[in-house]
Amino acid sequence: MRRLRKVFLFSLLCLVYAGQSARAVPESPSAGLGPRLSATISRLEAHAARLKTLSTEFVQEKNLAAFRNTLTLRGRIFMERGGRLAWHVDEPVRYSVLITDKVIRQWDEETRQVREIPLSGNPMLRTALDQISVWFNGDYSSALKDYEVELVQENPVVIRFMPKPSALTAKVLKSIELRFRSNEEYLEQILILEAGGDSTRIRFENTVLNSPLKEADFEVDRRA
Amino acid sequence: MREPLFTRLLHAGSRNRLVLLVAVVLSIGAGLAGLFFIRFESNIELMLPDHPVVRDHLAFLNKSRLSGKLVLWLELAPEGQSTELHSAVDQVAAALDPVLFPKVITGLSGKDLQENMGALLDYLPSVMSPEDLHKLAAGLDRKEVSQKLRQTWLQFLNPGSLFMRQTLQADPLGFSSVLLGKLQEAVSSLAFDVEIENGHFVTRDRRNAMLIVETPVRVPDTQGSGRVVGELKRVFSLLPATVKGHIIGGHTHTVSNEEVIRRDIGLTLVIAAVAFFLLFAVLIADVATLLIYLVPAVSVVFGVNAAYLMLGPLSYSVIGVSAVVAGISVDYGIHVYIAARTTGNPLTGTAHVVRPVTAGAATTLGIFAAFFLSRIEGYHQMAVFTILSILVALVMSLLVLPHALGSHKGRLRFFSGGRKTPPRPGRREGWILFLWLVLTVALAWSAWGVRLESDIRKIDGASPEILAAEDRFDEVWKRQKLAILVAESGSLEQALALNRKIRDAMQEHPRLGPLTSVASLLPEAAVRKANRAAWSRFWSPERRIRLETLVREESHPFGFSDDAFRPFFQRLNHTDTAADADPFSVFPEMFLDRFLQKTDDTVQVLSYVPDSAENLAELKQTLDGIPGVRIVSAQALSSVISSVITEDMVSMTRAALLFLVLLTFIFVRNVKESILALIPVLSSVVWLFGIMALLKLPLNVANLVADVVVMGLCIDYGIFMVFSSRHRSDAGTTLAVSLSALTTLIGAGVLVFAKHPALFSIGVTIVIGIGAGFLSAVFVVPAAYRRLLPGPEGARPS
Repeated sequence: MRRLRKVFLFSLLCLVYAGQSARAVPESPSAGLGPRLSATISRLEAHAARLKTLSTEFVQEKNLAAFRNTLTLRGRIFMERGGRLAWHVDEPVRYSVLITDKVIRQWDEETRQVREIPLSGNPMLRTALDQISVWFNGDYSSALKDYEVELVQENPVVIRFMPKPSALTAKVLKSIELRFRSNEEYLEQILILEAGGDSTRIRFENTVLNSPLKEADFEVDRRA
Repeated sequence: MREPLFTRLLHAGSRNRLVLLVAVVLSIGAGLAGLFFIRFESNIELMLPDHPVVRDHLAFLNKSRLSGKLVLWLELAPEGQSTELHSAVDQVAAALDPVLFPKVITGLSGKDLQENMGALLDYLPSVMSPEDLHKLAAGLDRKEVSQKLRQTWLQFLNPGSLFMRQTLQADPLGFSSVLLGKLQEAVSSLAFDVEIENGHFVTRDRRNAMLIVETPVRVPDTQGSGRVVGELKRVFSLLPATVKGHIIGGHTHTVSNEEVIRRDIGLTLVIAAVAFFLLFAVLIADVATLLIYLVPAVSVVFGVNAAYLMLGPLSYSVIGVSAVVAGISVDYGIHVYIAARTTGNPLTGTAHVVRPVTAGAATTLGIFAAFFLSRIEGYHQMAVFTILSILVALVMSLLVLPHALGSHKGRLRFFSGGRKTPPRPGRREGWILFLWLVLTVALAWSAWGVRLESDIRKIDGASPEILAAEDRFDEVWKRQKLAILVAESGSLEQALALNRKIRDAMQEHPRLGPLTSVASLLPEAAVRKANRAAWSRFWSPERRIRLETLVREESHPFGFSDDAFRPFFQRLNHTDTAADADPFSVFPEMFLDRFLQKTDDTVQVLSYVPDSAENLAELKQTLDGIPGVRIVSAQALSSVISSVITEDMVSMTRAALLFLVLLTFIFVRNVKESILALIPVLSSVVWLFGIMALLKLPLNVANLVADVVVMGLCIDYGIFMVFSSRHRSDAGTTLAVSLSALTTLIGAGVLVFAKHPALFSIGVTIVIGIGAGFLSAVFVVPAAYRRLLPGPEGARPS
């Protein structure tokens, strides 16, 4: 319950802090991209457009100053493009999160209870989840508004996104680096470098695209 | 024997016709020139009664920044994409003129949030009450600490933890959750059901976005509002076809009201002018009728000029009744003209009608004089304008017009003239009286159902498009109706203390809530200081060391480093030196704007509760004992307006009736005849209310006053018909009364074409009332006279 309260508190703070004077003249997100980068992004987005569902195992390594050692999580991700995303952690703790466009459902093995956090009124959490959605769905053009982008490597493709000073993520994020599989159909790895020096690496293994998913894949309490 | 004053004046004019003509022409020229300098304003406040509650509400609204705020609502077409909506918001914000709109709010600033999180935690000790500390102490044992650290650890595993990490490290035990309840009080009613997406205010379905803009232009400023609305329309015109912009705010009403009233005044005056001209040209076919036509025109022109000189800028809605005034003032010219043509000598003819014409004018003046008993300034303006116009019309008709009419007899079309009525009443009179009685009783029954509309906004002339957009906006954004509780004082600290008292009082009446207040987040300085002192005492060195050891031990199993929660302990180690964090730097301006207002000499702290008529009395009672507190409530305002209008109408109607009865008796000098002369007045009131109830038309602040005018006109018809019946000779009276009623019906009838609801309702009221009064004057009064006064009394000379 306390965790829920924390998230709720966070959303309340967001409401309190709602307000910005916006007079920046909008510009085209793709303006300024070189032809190679532009072509690469178009190619990757064309692949991503064919993505309907995703089923993958993942290994997440967090190198955070707040922890003595690397925090390694193992689990599975199930995703419907533009819809639900289930994040099941199996190690070191059994923990599940289901994200929809309206709500987050959480379960952990200690409490063995499912809790719902509505995303309405949780703009910061929604922003964080929107970011995840951008990288997982391959909607890279929409990220160009807030990020500078560079082509790090062509084969296999590695693209690095760096937040613009005006971006919401600028204070906490240094860069996000996406490494694609050789056939460019999906991500192989995401590397997140934070402004304070922390980093998170997510490797995708045994990835299956566009296979039918079961309703049980999106149930967070299936192990309760 | 010395001649009466009127006869001497008439003869003097006759001797100096040229001088009189030149004086009249020059005066008309000056009046017409003056029209170009007169300023009008569209200010609905003029139609609100002068009452402490109303004054209080207006003073608050005029001083508050609410008056300068507008909501820009962007609506996405079904085929549009949400990205287009977000781009449109940014486009609008970037395109707005910064001078006209110095503040533009589009949504959430995540950067502000991150930057202020630390400041909020620094501010926490200032709002931790002794009860909060007690609860905090209960959560510091090993088991609780371990559980909290586990929750924090799980938060680190969350895919969205990136943005929350700083907060988790600065507050691993969730001390800041105390702020939860206090923040809930401040955001429990946000007035809109709003979400934030990509930093923008949106609806849950992501099909609508909102910007809040602030302008220095006040709502009643007609010209300024025109600039504001024009600029917003310009910016909206640049939006893509899939996004439609709507303006929600008082400025649109000001602009629309002005447009509607300008159009109505122009249209109704033209229709009235044409109708008057055709009426005289067709019915009388005499070139001299043009002179009658000049009487209302001149009287209105002079009335407007004189009223402006006396009162300053005039309300459009008040001037909108000029067609009605024209309809009234032309009556005097009609009577003089018909008398002149009937006798063949204008001066002799005028002398014959001077008494009934003066009586008619006197009753009308008396009626409008009764308007000064009202507490509505708009009524006073109307009274001044009308009284001046009527006086000018009277002088023009009695002292100027006779000199312009030639000395010859005329035969009026559709009029036989001089018809003697039969000496004995027949069955016809019986039927007339029976029908009148049945109708009057039936409509009196119906009249009980007539409704009083106290919502002043219902006579707002804003266009249907604006009103429809506002209704849809309320529906889409689920706008809540909130009353504002204002804690006002000369100093901020006193106002904050008052606001805390409001919160305390409201906590004892949860049924009235939820209360949206900053009392818990922003107590006065003395309370903040006491809280900080208690916080400092609470965190003794022993307790701090004990907690640090406990956290280190319990965080170890989760893999947290020793420095993981350094920011947390750094804050705790400075509790004894913690200064009062300035709440005005902790909370952003937009948040504070909703709760704090500084005027020239006062500070106001605002709280919000649901505004409902059922809760109003209890709310007043709850806050009654707290001086310096006021309730700003649309329900309260509506209730006061309703009761004041009712009181005003009762006192005005009582005074008008008293005046009518008195004048009627003075002119008629016979009790029975006076009662008969009052029949049209009775009919007009009863039939009007009865028919309005049948048509489901409500009485309102505009048409109630029209009803009093109707009474004043109908008594004229009654007096004329009693004089006519007394002589048992029509002698042009029926024609004169018919023409008078017809011209008034034209003057008021054209208002039925008005788009402005106030003018429209005035038009409908006068048409029904005058129609009823006229019919009963020409049919019922003679019939009743012959039934009730058939003898010698009915044939006595005047």
